[in-house]
Amino acid sequence: MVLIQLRDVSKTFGVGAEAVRAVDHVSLELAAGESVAIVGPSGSGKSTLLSMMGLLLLPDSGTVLVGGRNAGAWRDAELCRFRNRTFGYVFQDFALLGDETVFENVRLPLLYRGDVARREHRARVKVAAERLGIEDKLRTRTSKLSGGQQQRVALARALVCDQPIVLADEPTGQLDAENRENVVRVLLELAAEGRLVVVVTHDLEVAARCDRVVRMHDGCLVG
Amino acid sequence: MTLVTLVTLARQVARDVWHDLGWIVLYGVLMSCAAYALVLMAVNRALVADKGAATELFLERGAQTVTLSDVPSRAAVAASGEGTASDGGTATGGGAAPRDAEALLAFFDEALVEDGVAGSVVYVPGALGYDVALVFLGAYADLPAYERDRSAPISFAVSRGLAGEVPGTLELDGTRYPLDVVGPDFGIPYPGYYEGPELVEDNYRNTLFVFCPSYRLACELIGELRSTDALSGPLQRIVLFDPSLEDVARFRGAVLDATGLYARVTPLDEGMVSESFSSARTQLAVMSFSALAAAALAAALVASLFSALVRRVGELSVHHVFGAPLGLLYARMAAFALIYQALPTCLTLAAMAGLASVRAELVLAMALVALAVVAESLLVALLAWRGLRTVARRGLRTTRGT
Repeated sequence: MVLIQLRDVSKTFGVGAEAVRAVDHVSLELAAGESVAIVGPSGSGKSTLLSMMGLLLLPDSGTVLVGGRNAGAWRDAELCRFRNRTFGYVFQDFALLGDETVFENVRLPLLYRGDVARREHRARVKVAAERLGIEDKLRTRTSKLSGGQQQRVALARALVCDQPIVLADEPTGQLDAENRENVVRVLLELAAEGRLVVVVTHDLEVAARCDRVVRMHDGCLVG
Repeated sequence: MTLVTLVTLARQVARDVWHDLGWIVLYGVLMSCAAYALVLMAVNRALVADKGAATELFLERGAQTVTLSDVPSRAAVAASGEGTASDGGTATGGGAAPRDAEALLAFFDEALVEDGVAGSVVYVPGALGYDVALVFLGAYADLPAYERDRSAPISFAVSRGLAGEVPGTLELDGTRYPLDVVGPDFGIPYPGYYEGPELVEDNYRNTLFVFCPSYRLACELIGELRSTDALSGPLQRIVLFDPSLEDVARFRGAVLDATGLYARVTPLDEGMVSESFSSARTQLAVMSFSALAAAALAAALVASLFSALVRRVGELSVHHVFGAPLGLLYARMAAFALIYQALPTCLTLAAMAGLASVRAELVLAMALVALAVVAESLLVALLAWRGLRTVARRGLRTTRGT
């Protein structure tokens, strides 16, 4: 089942002489259960493309369909609700709330879910934490964790709402080999369970383990 | 916005506040002190303005105040420059023993009249069934803010607290006199002091105010006036209005004869101008300094608030990525901003509320302060929120540097 469809999407940053076309007329279809790696040199538009897939950026032209729905004209609140239920995001720098505990970080998407009662939060967080092996760290502040542990917290946050799509921007960029392996393994497991996993990476070894590799150069798909 | 969302929002705001509690308390206390000082000075300034207006009443009439003291030596009187040919005799009494009150009573009879050269206010406790009667004599009868019937030789009024209780007339020696109630702006001026309407209302609850230029008539109608304190009553607060040298000499002589004391008569404007100028300049300087300090503190508070909000932009952008609408995040920032400034605002309003009984205008000022703080909080939150919106438009780069 196709979950994300990009139809001739383009995105430009800046205006006039300083305008940079980050994504240039890209069309792409991504299906559930796929693991897709987006590779390319720095500045080739990988993260911008991923942001548009995750509805964090809207294209200047073209259409992004997620689950067959076009979010182009939605209001912010509607978009947020949809993103919350559909996407799990993983960042290179983890994007955790450093002053908060692991529990609060993993629970974050549940706070805005609306249809999950607060009393269920603990159970859901526990399931996600156990999967990532951080159940004993729930009361620890994330700022006190190692890089590998922090990325596992970020992964737990990305799947605590059972989101069907996981988007990861350089998820192994700051990790050592062992932690990189753990993260890749979890991402591939998520795809094997039927989720769509899209990974932006410079690491060709990671890319090679995905079902599909999409190459970008100067905002265009090249392979 | 659902109840669940509201509860979540409240918890998040509480957590935000907890993180910055130290700053909130620090600025709260400092701002309150500055605001309180400023409010106090503003009230004081208003009181001083009233006092100035009251003093002006006396200055316009060429008032000269009287101070009684032991008789100085002739040399001292000469040195002080007060000795004149006409009043030289007054300092020769030498002795302190009272001799003869007739001359002073005669002076009162002649000077304490309509358009006379003297005025006084006498407090007669228990007179005519009231706690106290204040009798305004001579030129003093026209100084309080009360429009008396000038065609009548005597006018009576009661304090406002008795407005509903008293009959409309007062019977004295078989004659009925109209009994009025003083107005809301009724105040009592003294040279260099002013009892404003609020003080009068507090101090004189069951009081009869008598406006009678003629001392003689007042004594005839109010027996207690002559019988209890015939001399010291009027003498205590007597003021001479534009007296001639002969009037002053006669007064000094009469006082000396009656009491054995020396009456120092001093023009009110002597020293008053330079003193009031210096006082006003000092007050202005202190007020300016306090206002500047309060403004600097307020600016620091707002800057600190803005900085606290901007510090949270990275964290809030993560919330946005995972489903928090920008509108909800604005509500969170605005609520935080309001609470951040709630302590100084509440303490300031509490201080103002305490003083509101003194100056009714403060109630309006309090409402304005509260409104201004709310508007400023919303504005500062909006500015920080615009930064958040800009960051949110960066897509997955949103959280870089969080």
